[in-house]
Amino acid sequence: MLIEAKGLKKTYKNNKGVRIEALRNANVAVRENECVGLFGSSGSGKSTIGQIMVGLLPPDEGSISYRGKSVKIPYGKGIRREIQMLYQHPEVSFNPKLTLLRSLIEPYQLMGIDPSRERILEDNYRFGIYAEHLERYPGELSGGELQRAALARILVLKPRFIVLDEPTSMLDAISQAQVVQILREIQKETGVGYLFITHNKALCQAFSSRFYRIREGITEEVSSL
Amino acid sequence: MIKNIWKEFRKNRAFRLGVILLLFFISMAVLAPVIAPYDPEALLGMPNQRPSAAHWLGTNDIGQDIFSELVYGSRISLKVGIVAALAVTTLGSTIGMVAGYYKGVVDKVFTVLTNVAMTIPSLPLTILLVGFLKTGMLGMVVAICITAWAGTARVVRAKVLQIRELPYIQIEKLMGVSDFKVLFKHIVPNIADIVMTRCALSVGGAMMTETSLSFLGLGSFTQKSWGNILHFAFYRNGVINNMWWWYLPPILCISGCMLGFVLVTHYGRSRSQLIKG
Repeated sequence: MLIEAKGLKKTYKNNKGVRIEALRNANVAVRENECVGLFGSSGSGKSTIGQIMVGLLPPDEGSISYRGKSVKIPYGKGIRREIQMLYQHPEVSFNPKLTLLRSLIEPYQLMGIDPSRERILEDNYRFGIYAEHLERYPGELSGGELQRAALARILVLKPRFIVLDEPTSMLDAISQAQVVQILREIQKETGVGYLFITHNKALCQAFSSRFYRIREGITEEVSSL
Repeated sequence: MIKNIWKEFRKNRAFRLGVILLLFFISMAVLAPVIAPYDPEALLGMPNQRPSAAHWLGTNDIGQDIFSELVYGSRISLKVGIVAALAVTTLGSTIGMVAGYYKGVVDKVFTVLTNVAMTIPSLPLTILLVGFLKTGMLGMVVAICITAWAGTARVVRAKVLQIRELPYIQIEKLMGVSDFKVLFKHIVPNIADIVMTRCALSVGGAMMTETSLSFLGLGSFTQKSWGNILHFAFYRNGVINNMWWWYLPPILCISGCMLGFVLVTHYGRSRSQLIKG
């Protein structure tokens, strides 16, 4: 198993100070080279699971194991870059004050890879990001371009597991198809595992090989949606 | 940012008036030796003269030219205002950024400190601090800095709390980017408009405090400032004798300059609703 979350519980305090249970008993497991769908309605706790599994939120109870070893949040340096997330809103996935090039350079610098413009252009070519896009600010790019650039940026880190938090819900049909196609190609090439969070039943069934349904913070593995 | 400021200058009348007022007073301070007809310290003869061609705003009780005092006074008033505002903004922004970014215990400690600082009336505390610190510009700047940072800290904290939850900051954390880089590369550019607006407001506030302190006799007696002119106009019977040319011009200059800084904040107001402290 690549990553496994067991018995996750998470509560939040609302504005009145009352504790709201976001997760009551969530169990999700993803193998290498597998796409697992997590399907549920708004407010069911889908994104909370994603944020816990990538290490952004500590659970109140429950455990996470990565490649057979129990891990604690925040994740240590060794696995930090191997677990990434693609967000629902591409327009806020990039710093609005930086050009695309300045945002794309960061993972290269972190990984000690040559951050030259030529190298970035070469790597981004397959994602439909070209020279004319690099000097633009996020506000000057389309949702599809930004989402493809966001995916290209996290792939520099060579992740083994990516949480896809409704990555196509804000895109038009053509951009959706492009992003899904790229995600499939990358999985074939690298064996990366995906947790595909969505409330789109058809897309979840088409893209995932196994499914979890989440209702009121409780997950259940199902054979079909 | 320069593009944004120019755009705002063209379309926002209040901002435009503010910039013009500030340019007027800054030019007055920079070009003081050219504009002032006399040395402000020179004793030129007859005291308490009315305005005339030789002395546009008359002379004070020891025969110094009031117009020259006023022109040179803009230097100290603006210098104290700008230096204190920079110090206040740096301190307040740093505290607000650290509290908002790290949340938890750090935030709780800074929030309590900020709330306590905001409940203490600032002028009496500044007077007390100036009494203990060395007189002069440095003492005044330190005292203003200690008493005026809280508003900026609160506004910056609120904005950072909002920004830190945005995906582009979360992505930086997921990539393992250091907190220092996240704060200075990704958060600072996104709060720059608010920080600049707060800084402009702080200049006005610091100038007002400097004037108040100088008026009360807690400023530097060796350097002319607008508050200092008012102090002597009041304590040497200029007000009682209705010598309006002595006390009115510094009041108008302080008001004009304050108005300039307040109007300039319209730039930030149109870009963010988070400037009230």
